Amino acid sequence: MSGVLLVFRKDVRRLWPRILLVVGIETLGRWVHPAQPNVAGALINVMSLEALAQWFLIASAIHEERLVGDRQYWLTRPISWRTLLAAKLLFFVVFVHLPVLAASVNGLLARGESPAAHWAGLAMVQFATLGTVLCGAAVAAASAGMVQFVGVSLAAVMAPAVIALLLASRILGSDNMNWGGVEWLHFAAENAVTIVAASAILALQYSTRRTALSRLLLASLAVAVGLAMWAPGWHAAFAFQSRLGERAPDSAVRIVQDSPRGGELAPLPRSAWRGDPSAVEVPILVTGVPPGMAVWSDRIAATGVLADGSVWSSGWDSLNRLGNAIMSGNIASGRTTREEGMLPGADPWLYLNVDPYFASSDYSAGRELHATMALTLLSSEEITPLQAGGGPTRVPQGGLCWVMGMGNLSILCSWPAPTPGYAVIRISAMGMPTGFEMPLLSERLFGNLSYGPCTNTGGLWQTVTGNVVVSAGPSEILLVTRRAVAHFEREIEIHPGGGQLP
Amino acid sequence: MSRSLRIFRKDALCLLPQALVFITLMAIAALRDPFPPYRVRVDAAVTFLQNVSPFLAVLACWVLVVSLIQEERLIGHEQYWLTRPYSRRDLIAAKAVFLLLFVNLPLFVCQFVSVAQAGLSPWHWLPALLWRQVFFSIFCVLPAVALGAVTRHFGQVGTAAIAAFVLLQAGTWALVGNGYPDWGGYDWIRTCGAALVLTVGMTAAIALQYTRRRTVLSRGIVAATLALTALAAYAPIGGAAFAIQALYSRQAVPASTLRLYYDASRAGTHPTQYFSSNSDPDGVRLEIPLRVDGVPGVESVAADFTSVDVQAPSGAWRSGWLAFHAFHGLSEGKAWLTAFVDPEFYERYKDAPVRLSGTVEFTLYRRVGTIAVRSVNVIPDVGLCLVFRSTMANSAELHDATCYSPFSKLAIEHRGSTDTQPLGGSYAPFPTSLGFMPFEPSTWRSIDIETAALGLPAAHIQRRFEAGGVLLRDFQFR
Repeated sequence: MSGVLLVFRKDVRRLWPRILLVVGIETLGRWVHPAQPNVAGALINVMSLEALAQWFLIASAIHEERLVGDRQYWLTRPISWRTLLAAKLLFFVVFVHLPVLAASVNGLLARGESPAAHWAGLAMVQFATLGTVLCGAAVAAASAGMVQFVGVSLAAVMAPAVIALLLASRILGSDNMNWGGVEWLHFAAENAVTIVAASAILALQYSTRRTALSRLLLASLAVAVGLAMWAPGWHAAFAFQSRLGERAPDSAVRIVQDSPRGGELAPLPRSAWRGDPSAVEVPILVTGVPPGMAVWSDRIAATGVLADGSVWSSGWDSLNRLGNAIMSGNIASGRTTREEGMLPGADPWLYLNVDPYFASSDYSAGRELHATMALTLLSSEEITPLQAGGGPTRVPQGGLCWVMGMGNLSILCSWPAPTPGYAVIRISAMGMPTGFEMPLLSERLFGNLSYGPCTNTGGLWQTVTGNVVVSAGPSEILLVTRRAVAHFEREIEIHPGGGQLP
Repeated sequence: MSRSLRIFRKDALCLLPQALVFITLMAIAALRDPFPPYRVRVDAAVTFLQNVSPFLAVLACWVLVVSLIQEERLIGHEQYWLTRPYSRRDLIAAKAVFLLLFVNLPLFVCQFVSVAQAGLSPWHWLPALLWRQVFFSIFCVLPAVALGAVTRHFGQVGTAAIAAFVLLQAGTWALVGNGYPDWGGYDWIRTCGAALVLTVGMTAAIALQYTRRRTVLSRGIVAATLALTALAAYAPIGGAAFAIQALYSRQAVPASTLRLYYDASRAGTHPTQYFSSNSDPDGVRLEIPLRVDGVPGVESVAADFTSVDVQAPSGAWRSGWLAFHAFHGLSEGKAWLTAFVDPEFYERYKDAPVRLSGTVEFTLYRRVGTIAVRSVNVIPDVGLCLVFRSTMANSAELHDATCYSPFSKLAIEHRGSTDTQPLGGSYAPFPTSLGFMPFEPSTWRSIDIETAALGLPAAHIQRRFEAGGVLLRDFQFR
């Protein structure tokens, strides 16, 4: 133990300027920023450097007793590799993990949040940090100096990862990269793979100093992580997420095809559906949603039988949605977009991205499409009027929002995870809703919706921004949020002729 | 000379892995599709790669350059080359040749190929590509050379780079907060100022270090140069910039063109159409009626910066130079100038006679063509223009368009409307951007394809108007 402390003390004495620099960046990002997210700008730029700075410190510590080469002082001293590894791990715990934890706890306290209520988020932050630390340490252990560290990072880690990434995206499809609201589970799986593999590489390099093998394993790890970014498994993650949620009154929700509306046109022109020529739009009827609550459509998988008798399946395609038209964006320009999801008070539509056969005139009677829908039950609206003028407004789920500007509003909100399952800015003019809503949290538009105890990248805070121009007289700016209450699935049979074909 | 070549050959052998990593990443960054067409599904892997490759290429470039300089470290007394018959001139020549062959030349070749691949003639755009090399060298290579020369090893470089980044961010935050002073098309003047500061300071530090090896002084010069460069890069716009820009007007403009007067006959009236955007300043919106004589027939007109001053009996308000859609609605010799006045000042003086004056910086655009309804248009002197059906709902007649080239200076004008929209291009006489990709960015615009015309900036003029005894409340826009 004394050997461990001796090496640790020596490292601290040697590296204190770098330690101060890195701890300063960690503190700025995780303590100061949550308290004052409205003074973003330069702070966000500094925060973007955090992982790079941590890797720099980690590599500096590892290279103090290099593992590559035969002339290092420690090889001829009575210092075992276990002592060395323990000293380095202690260094990382003290100067990376503890500052991150302390800054995260202080960030919560600065916002008036109880750290105990966010223990899962804090644990996820430590888990994410562990991935960063061990991966950096493994790369540093397999390199002889700082230049080699950058070289190994780029050549042995980045290059194989990128090649795997490109191949996987071709083979497995782009949809698997972002798992939407359950992306945090995707991130956790990738991070777990990184932690296990990096630990093994670190142990191997410290115990045997077989650098070539370690570099080969690093490249394999990079390939594994590159592939994991495209790993299929969205449905398994959604099923896992649904077990984590409350057992809410979702059983009464029924979804069927709305045959009487079969002749209606879909609410927006096809150009709004990204001009996809293979989309079908089917009117549906939703019943049994508890009063005030809403249902959000995550993904839909469709299957059908083609003319030759073969079975076609869309998989859990992120373009498949239930939805209704919501005006959003800029009031002055009248810009509109379709926001996916399904809210009460509108006639919803089912949008399916299908095999061209189903969208063609050859689509004969008697054949059916079967769709399984993954849905999220959202709580009743929580409406918070936001104060203009730059001061913060407290909003549900521990959030704070700032509205800056007068006619042209910059809105910034920040929540500790778990964030709301739905958040939009609604503008009322003269007490009347203008019909415009600007989404703040959205899987498709921003990729920032998370149902988990952390953000999609393992962080504790979700900061979102938006701009609205208000020029139609005195306006009220409302933040409308809903909590994600439960996640469940429903099935629907779609009969031909009941939908709007292209 | 043979000694220089020997050092160069040794460096090339030693640093080949670093050079290959840099060239690979730089090629990915330079050869990427500048504006991939809209797709139902964007290839996330390609997007990810294209987003991270410029950052990684800069990192690899810095590693290569710093490694090159530190092959013959300048700090310390135990380096091998100090006891050999190497002159500093040999050393500098060897390093310069390496940088030209392993950094600048590969980048130039990639950019040349990228331009040809996009469907433009690289020979036509050769001067622009060469200018890009100048600014790339100043902003990317020179600081790395200086940092390598004043540090002992890569650990010091990392510490210095991270600390400098944090300090510069803190300094610029203290200076301008979140509001980056936008210079629009005039930004090249500020970029040139920053480039000049950087070149002088870094060259002085490098020369001092190579000739005298006075490390402390050289480090001080590097730190001061970085601070001064940040100051120059974040400076607010001023009258000097407009004067410099006017020197580079491509055509002479007679004094009778675009004369502005306050139009007292329309006091109390308001424009029927107005434009509002996120770049509008805050305050009470005033619409000042103007009369405009000498509107050019051939060129189209865009107003860049405007400034409004109000002199009240016991106080004054100045807008400063602002860039938003302030000068608008030019039709039949009439136009409007928007100003957002401080609410407190307005309430105090809205009913008192005040003296009003304003200045508008105009750019005249020479029309160079139109965009046809096809996906890609090659337009001489402009570059490539892409046109797609608008993603906006209910917009059958609207298209999204952008144009790009190694030297973008374009505006889009709608015939029948005088509100010419610059596409984010520069008014520079030569390109000053320094990215790996050889194309300068321009923004996507929603345009009516039937009436849109393309224009290139031809002249820059400043016009001023004054009016006495006016009431601010006559101008308040409700």
